[in-house]
Amino acid sequence: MVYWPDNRMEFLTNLLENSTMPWLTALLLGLMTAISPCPLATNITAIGFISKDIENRNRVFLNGLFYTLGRAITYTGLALIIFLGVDQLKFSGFFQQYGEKFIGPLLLIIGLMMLDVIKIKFPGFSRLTSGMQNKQRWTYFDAVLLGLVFALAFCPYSGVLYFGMLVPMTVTSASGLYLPLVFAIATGIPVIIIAWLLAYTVSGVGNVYKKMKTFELWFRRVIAVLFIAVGIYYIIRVYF
Amino acid sequence: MKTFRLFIALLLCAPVIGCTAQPSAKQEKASENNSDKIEAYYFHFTARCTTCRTIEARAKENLESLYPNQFKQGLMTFQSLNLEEAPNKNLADKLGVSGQTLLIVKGNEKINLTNEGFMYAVVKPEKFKEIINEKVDGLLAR
Repeated sequence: MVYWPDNRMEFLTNLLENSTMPWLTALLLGLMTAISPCPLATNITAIGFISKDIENRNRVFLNGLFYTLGRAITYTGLALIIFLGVDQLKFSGFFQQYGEKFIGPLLLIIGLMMLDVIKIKFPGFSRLTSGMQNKQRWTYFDAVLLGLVFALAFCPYSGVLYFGMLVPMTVTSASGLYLPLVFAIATGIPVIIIAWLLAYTVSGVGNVYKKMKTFELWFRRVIAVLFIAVGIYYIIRVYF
Repeated sequence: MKTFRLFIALLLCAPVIGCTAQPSAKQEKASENNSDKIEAYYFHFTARCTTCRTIEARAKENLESLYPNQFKQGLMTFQSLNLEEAPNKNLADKLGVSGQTLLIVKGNEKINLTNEGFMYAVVKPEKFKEIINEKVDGLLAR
C-alpha cells in the first residue's frame, strides 16, 4: 500500500483547522484530495495523458488547464445538482459506492483502444483513440473529458472530503457555488506541475527526440500501457 | 461553513471541557441513571482505503479503552457494517446513512464523527480520541 508521509497531511490539517475563509478551506480540501494515496493512481494516469505532447511544453500546460476545467465541471455540476434539491444522501451514497467501480474498466478499454487492440467508436473519445494511427493530435476537448470522468471516480477518502466537507459548505448558499471550482483547481495543481516538470525535463534533454519520428508514437504507447495498468489496479482493488 | 466554524469552536473548547468534566465520575452516573445503550457504527463499502480502515480501528480502540465498563456490561457496542450487504442497508436507511460514516447512536440521538475521523484519525490520533471522549461523555450525561 502506498503510504504518504503524515507530516504533509498534518500540515494541511493544521491549516484547515485554522481556516476561517471558505475559499481557503476548499483549496486545502482539494490539495488533501490530490496528494492522498487514494486518488494517486488516476493522478498518475492524468499526468501521463497531459504530458503526451511532451515535445511542446506550452501544450502540456494547456492540457493540464483543460484537464482541471473538466474536473471543475464535474465538481461544480454535482454540487449544483445537490443545491437544486436532489436527495443529497442518496446521491452522494451512489457516487461513493459506484464512483470507483466504473473507472477501472473504463481505463482498461481506453488503453486497449489506444493500442488498437479493440476498436469501438464512442463520441468524444474518437480522436483520442484514433490518434495513434492517423497521427491526429488529441484535442483539448479530450483533456476536458478526462478530467470530467476522473473527477467522478470518488474513492472512499475523496468521497468524504467532497461530499462530507466541501458540499455542505457549498450548498448552504448560492454564493458558495464558486467553492467547487477552487477545490477542482487544487486537485489539478499537483498534476499540472508534475506534468509540466516532466515536459520541461524531456524537452531539455535535447532536440534529438524531435528527429525521432517514432518517439511520440512510443511515448503514446507507454501511456496506453499506463492506462491499462492503472485500470487493472482499480479492477483488482474494487472487484476482488 | 457554519458547521465548520462550530466544529473549530468545539475543538478550541475541547481542552477546557476535558479538564473540567471529570469523565469517569460522569460515566458512572450516566450508566446508573440511563439504561439506554450506546451503539457505535462504522458504515463502509466493500472497497476500502487505508485511511478508512485506520479510522475504524482507532474509533473502536478509543471507545474500548475509554469506556471499558460500558463494553463489559454490554451498554456500548461497536459494529463495522458493509453498506453493500442487504441487512445493513436497512439499518443504514433507518439511521439516515448512505455513505461511509462513523456514527454514534443513543436512542434518538445521533452523533456523526465521519469528518473528524477523516481529519484526525491518521495525523492526530490523540485529538481524535479527545473528540470521541468529549462527544460520548456528552451522550452519557444526557
